[in-house]
Amino acid sequence: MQWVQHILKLSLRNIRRHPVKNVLTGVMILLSSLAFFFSASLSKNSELGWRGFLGKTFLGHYHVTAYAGLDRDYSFSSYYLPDAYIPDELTRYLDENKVEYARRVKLGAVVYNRDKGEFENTLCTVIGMDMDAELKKLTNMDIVQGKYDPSNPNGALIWKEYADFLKLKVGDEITVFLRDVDNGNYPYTFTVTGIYFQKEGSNIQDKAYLRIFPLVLVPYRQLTTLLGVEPDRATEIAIWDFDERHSSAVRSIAKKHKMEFMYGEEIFAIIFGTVDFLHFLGGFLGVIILTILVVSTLNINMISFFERQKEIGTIIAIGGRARWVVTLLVSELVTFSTVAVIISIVIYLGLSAAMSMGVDFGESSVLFAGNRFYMGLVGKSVLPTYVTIVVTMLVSALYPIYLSTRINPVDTFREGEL
Amino acid sequence: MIALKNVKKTYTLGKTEVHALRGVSLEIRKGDFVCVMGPSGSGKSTLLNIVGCLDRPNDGEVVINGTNVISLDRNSLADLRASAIGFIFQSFNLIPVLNVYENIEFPLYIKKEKISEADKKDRIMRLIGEVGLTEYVNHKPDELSGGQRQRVAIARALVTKPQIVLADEPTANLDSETARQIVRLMRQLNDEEQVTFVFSTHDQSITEYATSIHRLKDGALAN
Repeated sequence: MQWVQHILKLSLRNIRRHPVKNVLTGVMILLSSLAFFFSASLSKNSELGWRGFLGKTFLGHYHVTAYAGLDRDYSFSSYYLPDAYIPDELTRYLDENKVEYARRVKLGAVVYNRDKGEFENTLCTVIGMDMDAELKKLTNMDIVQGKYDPSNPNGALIWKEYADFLKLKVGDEITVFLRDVDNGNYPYTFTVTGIYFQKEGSNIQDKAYLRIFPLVLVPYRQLTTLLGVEPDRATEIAIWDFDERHSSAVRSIAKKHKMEFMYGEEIFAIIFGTVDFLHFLGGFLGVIILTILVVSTLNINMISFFERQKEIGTIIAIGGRARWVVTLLVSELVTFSTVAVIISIVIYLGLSAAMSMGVDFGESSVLFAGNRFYMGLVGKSVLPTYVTIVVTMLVSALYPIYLSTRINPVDTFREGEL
Repeated sequence: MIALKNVKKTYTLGKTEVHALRGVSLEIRKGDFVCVMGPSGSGKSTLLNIVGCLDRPNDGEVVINGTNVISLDRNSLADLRASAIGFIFQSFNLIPVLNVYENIEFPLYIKKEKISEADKKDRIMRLIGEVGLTEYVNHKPDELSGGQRQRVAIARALVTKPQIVLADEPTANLDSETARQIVRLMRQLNDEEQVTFVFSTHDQSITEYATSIHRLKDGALAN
């Protein structure tokens, strides 16, 4: 233990002994760390922004759907009922843990366009949902004409643009063709009791192709009865509980039963690839900086090696094994990297505090669902950043360390003073 | 204790071969205070480096405490140096970031000697006292004079209780008065600690303290 303390003491003092070299290396580490922290923050802001926004839509805070393997095409549900429904294990877990959720039956349909007498461009998604429970959650939905009528089991709410396209108004009938549990394709007629408008974020309307989501909302009980689906069976469960303690368990159960589990921002990422892009951007920037870090610190370490030949030669002469020298040099690198990353964290936190009001990215704020960007430190980015920095520093020091272990003390004592 | 048998060492400098040692044989007994004399380039440093297991001869045998060290690997030689040999260098070679106490303590960590903190402190402080640096315990090397630095180096060489201390021109960077003080100190410690000292010099005036003198000329013993 004393030996370790001694190595650490020596490492710290050697670090302090070469301030110029270490400031240069430290600046490189600082830039790398800030790039990693910043890109993690970008991703986190995007994730939370979109989770918040999509959490007010039909997607729920997160949801599980039985329509797995459809290439995650959220523009249109399967025209068929799935082979399996949401498993009891999942609903039991949610009930036992008092997680707020809603059952739905959702499937694709075509609507007969009475105005034109055809089916062209009338694909839509019919969702049987518990209107009483869910409509109050859909805060980005405005019923602009009519209303939800709980006394009418055949009542339907339809999307305004879809209603305009089909020239439907409140009180009209809409006939949808659905495939029931026996795979029979039958027309079902509902009465339009309300027309809703889907509110979108500040500049999301232009960016997000939400127009490809014509939805017809009908009462869950009525739809299950019409299709012959057993009571309480669901093809989709929307979880409205923002307490994230249960999300990983729900994800796990969904995976076990081959169901799709999706957070709002994951859907956004799939549609736009934004989060992937941010990860790529951050990673690319980080790799560029790390490459510069490797090259520059390799040079700095080589210079340092030549400066310290006599010191290392002395250690070897008085009985230090190569392992001892490696331990000392690695210890210096790890200690230095640790201190540099800690300073980077402090600086990043300082910058975050200075920008606590957030930054408006203008047009680009679509990345954050129209919200401002807050430069907070993402906790889970700290360890990977630290490990990356340490590994990079070690890689850049491999050759100088190897040379140090091969030093012949006799050669280093020929002249000059330590 | 130390026996060199027909030791030869040749260096290659470019296309030229330099015969640093041409078949040197000598014996050094426990407790000797041996001086190796000779002009620059006579092979003094090469001889001490070979005795100190820092360099290998091209031919011959080097026997230390009955072991022919020629056959030992790198790590075994390092262990032998850490446990049995102390070094005093011409340019002191102290660790610049460590103070006097820590520089003397340093070889104990290299040797990984199991010693209690109290015993270690006693040993180091006693050595510091013997080399007359009690007031400079916390000084760094760059705060000391040349003579003081060499005293620290002497204490560092002795701290692991080695059987042999090798000093390659320990007085070369010192003025004549300080040089005499240093050699007197080494001789005193040779008596008190019963440690074998082998030192090289080209200064005739400090050879009076030696119990035996070996003169080197062109890589061969002249006496």
